[in-house]
Amino acid sequence: MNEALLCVEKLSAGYRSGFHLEDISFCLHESSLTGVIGPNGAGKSTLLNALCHELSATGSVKVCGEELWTMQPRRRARFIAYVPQSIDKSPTKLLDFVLSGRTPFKKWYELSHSEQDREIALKNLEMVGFCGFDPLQKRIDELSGGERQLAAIARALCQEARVLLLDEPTANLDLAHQIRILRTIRHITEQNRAATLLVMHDLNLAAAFCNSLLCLCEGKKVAYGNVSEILQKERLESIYKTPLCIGSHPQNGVPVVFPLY
Amino acid sequence: MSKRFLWLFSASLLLVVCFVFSLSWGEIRLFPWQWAGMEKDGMEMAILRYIRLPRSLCALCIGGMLAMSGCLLQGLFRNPLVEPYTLGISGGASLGVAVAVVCGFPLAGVWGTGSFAFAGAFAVSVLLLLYGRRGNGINNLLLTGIMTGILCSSGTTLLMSLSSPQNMNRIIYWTMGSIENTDMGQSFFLCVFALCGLTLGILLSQRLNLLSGGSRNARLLGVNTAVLVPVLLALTSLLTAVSTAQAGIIGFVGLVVPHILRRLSSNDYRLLVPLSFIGGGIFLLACDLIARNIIAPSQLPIGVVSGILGGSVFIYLLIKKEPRNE
Repeated sequence: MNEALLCVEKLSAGYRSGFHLEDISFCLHESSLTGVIGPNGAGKSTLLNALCHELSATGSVKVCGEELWTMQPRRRARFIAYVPQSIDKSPTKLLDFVLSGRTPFKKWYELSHSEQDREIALKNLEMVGFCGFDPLQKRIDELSGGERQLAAIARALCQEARVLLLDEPTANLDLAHQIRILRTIRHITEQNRAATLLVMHDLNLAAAFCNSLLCLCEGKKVAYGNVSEILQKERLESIYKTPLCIGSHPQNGVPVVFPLY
Repeated sequence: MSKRFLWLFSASLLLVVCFVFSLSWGEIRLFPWQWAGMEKDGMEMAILRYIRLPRSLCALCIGGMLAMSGCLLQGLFRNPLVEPYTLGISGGASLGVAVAVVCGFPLAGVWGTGSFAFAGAFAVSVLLLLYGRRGNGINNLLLTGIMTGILCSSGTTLLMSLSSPQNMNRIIYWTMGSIENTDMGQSFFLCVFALCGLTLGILLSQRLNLLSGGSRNARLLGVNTAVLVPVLLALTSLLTAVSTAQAGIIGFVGLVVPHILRRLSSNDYRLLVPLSFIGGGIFLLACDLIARNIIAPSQLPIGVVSGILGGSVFIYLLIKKEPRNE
């Protein structure tokens, strides 16, 4: 049995405006890729925010056996790495951007990065596919949306965290970039024996790449399990409130969801 | 040779040249090659040692502290238009001076207007820190600072309208900013304070780089923003309070200098923080040179010169900025 890296029990969290996430429980094991699915406003991003300790929350979240709420930010960043949905176009050099992922390992007064940090950053840049040009010369605002997403993933990898949280990593990307990013995420998850939780809107991509799915609706957990268990016609129709039919992928037989017009 | 080193080296060299020029230039020219031949108890040595040296040190330190504070605040608030006085610290200092003048306290000494200015500026800083600690968000903090500044200015205007014309003049003259009456003791204190501030500013610059990408982003990378934000606020408030107490209100240094340097050099605060300090020192030394020479033997308040010079440069830069393609 793989080691449990993230155990969430009876998690409730909310914004001041009143939206609440209620009584969420699940457990992520190493080398697992879990997709969080659900309609708009279901609480998918809220869940990720709560797991980053960005919201006031109750319940228990244990990361590698340690309670999340009692961790200092520096320690927390060594266990959990978060990749936001979009990255600001800043004039920061790509290598500096990725090196900022080494912050949890640096003292507050350290001004420059060690040679080892640079090696780690370059290795991770290469892992996500940044090769063929000198990353020292590129700036974040000169990259395409997909490349910025990859840069953010490389930065998260520099944190060497066992738990990766990704908020819609394929939003606004074309099909080729979606596949490339998801392949990279799956490869990294398996290679680093990490547990990855990613918010997805595209059910077919989620089915193709994730080991398990967590289905949320109106701030509550609807179901959690493997892909074929979760992608059931009645369940999806009731939460998305739209008629659907489920087929199977001709290449590998994983469920494919077709909306009925 | 790295870009950072080149920038800092060139700027430091320019600062030394400006400093020496500031010591040399005046009604009586005292060039460095004359210094060795001066009589120890002569008038020229006295001018150099007791008038120009403290004054130039004061201009350097105050320019440096204000520009560095502006740079730190621009990073903290992610807004290139924030300067130390935006947070209402100058308003607090002005109110302190107005209270001192109206209550009849002397201009100099422990109970002089400088102490009251510091008390006013410090009180506003503490208020902001207490507000910041409640976790009300960076933008709310900025708005609170602006509103506190307006409240303090209104209080100052109220006191001015109730005071005699003579007292009113004293308050107005103080708000123009001046470093005329600086002695060696005050300069020494300013140097120590400025160096401590600069050291802490440089040490925090890497964290500021992360903070300038948003406080949430910094937190997710392991930065304890609950500590960093109050520390940055306390540092900038203290630097501004000390500068204001010593020299009155000297506008535009904290806004223009970091702004120009950011355009010229880099967005990396590891370079921008020390460069702003040096740039601020150069700017105020230049302003002081103009202030004391342009209508010699009379002098202009340094705040007026810095305002005119800084404002003109800033407007020029805004006009020169490439128009958007619309």
